[in-house]
Amino acid sequence: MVQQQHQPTGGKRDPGGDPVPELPDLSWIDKTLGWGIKARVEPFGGGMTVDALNIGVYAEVPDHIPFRNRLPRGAYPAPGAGSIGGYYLQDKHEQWADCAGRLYEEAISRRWSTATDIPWETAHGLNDDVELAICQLATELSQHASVETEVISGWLQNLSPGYHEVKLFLSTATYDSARMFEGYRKRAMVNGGGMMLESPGGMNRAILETYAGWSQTVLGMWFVRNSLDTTILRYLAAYGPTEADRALAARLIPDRMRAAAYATDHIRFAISKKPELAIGFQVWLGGVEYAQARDLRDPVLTEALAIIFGRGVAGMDDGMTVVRRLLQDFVKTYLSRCKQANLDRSKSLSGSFQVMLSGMPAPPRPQA
Amino acid sequence: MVDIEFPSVAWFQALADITKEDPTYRKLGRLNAVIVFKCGDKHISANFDVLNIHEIREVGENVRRDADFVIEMAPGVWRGMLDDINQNGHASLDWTLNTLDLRFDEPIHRNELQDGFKADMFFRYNPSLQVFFDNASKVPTRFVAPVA
Repeated sequence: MVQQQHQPTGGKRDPGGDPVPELPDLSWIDKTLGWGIKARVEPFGGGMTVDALNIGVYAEVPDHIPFRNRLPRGAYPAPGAGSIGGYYLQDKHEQWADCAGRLYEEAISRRWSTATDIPWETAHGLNDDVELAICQLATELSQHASVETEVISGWLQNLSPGYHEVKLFLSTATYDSARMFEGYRKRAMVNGGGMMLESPGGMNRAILETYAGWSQTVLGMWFVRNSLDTTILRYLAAYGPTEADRALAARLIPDRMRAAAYATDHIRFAISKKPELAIGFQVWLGGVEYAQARDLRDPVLTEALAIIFGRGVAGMDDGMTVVRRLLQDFVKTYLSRCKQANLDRSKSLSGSFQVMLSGMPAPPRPQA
Repeated sequence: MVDIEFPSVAWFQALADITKEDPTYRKLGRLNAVIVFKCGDKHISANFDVLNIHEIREVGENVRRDADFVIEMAPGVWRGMLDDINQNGHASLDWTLNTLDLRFDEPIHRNELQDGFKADMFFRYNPSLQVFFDNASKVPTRFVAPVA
């Protein structure tokens, strides 16, 4: 914007005695580190992507951001801005993933709406037992997603703006989990079944109350819980009782998998920078496995799934066979993510997870 | 229209040409993956590049390592899937990529170097890939069983 020149009132005059206009102070005009650096548009309809901006000085992603303030990466720091608090995760290894910019673009490009992209008109005609089971599952999945939304948005303010690709991606992950929340809330409400019993809550607390760091939060939320939810969605996409159930699950899978991609890439990066973190991550995962296994020993979720896959209470035994395979695939998915991140858990997997991996029925829950 | 042999570069090219213009495919958004489709001893590579699908070519088995992931099915399963798509205009429940991936002891997709990040693109882009194969209902196909 061009600043208006101020008309002199009684100030300087030129040699002829005419007033000299006061020029605006344009000392800010050379405060740039990268004048002349141009970002390029991708071919094939990709447009101008976030990653395409990483050229010249803007491609320098430092290992540490020395300021606890809102300085955008590559901007000229305002003198005296100093630290304003917050943003305490200032190290790259605490948050970075090389794929974050790409995942952000994917999330924006692949956005969708549960309101209009799901054939809700097909979500009818189920027997009451299957409808109740779907409503129970929907209640738990929407609660998982709601917790995730709160967790991500809670951590965002702690992450340094210097790693903006991560913040951008996480903002879409917040939307993605919100979409899963409202999608399954709609599913529960569409036939009048509504919300049912909330999930046991051990994992919710484990994820919400992770104070050790963002990386540890990622391990609980996107290595363990996301592996379970994604596996449930894959089975619903294949064996869901109505077209709407299958479509909703199928559309949510890519959203879940973007989070998984960020998570594995981030943990792999963190360990590559700080190999000593791996031991703590392993211990942490052991604790989260315990919380997840304890939740799964509550029979509500698995019984609801067995009714859905068995097409009714009468078919629960057959349905439970599918559920055991689902839980086996859940642990395989989880182990695969750990391996991707250079955190091999195959030899230190908790007992309950080993039982699920074997495909055997879980032992009964001990009585309180 | 003359039937096009499956599996062949011409068949995948015809499918790509239809899919690139398909509003449903375009609405699903960008993807970036080099995928090798394996049927018998035939390997066809395609580059899914944002909304374009190009560089479709037959490759040797060693090139599988360069792909983000490989989709491999027995010739009979490929045929079953394509017959089902042809019959219904899209894959019915038992023949979607997701169901096929769950149905067998081994998933139908993998990364040859066991890079899970790349293998997981199968799930990230699954709706787009399903539209891609659903468009096979518009490609007149002559199935030629390759050597298994």
